[in-house]
Amino acid sequence: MNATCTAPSSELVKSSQKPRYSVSRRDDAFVIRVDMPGVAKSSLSLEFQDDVLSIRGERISEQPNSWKMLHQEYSTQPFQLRLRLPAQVDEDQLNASLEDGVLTLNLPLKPSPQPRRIEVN
Amino acid sequence: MKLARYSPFVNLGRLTDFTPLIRQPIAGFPAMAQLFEDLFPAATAVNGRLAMDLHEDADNFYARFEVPGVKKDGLKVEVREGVLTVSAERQDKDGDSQSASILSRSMTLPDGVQDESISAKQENGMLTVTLPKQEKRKPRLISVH
Repeated sequence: MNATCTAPSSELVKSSQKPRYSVSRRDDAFVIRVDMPGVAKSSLSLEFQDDVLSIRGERISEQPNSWKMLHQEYSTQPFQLRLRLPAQVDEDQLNASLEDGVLTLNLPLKPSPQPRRIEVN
Repeated sequence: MKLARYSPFVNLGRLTDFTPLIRQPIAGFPAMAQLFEDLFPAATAVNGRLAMDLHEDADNFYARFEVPGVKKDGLKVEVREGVLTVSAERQDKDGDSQSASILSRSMTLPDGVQDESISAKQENGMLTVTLPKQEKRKPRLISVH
């Protein structure tokens, strides 16, 4: 095998690539879409800590060992994205779905506190 | 319905991208790194084409394409006069606005592919096209007497 065409071993290179993503704001939620081609549900991890949402997706079984690489254009490194969420996101209501290599995150916003009316006696 | 050009770099809202600078191609120069990233976003499209990997084993060639967000009916795989053409139409719906983008890619088939037995499979946003080799192109073990 031509050494220059070999995908870097994850043992040697602990790097990652940043996926394409988009964020849209709805009235009651943020919707984030992240392109993660080649990532299965089982190889996706989502972590939420200190307002930072970490998304990591490993590509599953890139190719059997018997396959010989002839030409490579896209990176097979794991996808990694970290996003700081605004405080009004209700992290307990966060839900995620993965379909056709696209991760869709729905981040509902906490209802804004209602103004308290103070009666004047 | 509103048609909008697909762009992954829109409407950040109030979310902050927190990917550490160290992983940017040009660490320490955020503006430069951002520019770099805008010019060369992670894979998916190379110069507006569909990014492709090509592999082989003893029996087949395998062409793989990244097609995130593309439904099965948005994929078209065509072989004509020794040229394989793959096109992928992606439709995104966001509220009442829709966007669509089409990427396509052609490649000349390697010598000795059985055109009529080409198959394609879509899984997890990847398209794999299997190109079977003709018998005479397969490696053959010759026994020594």
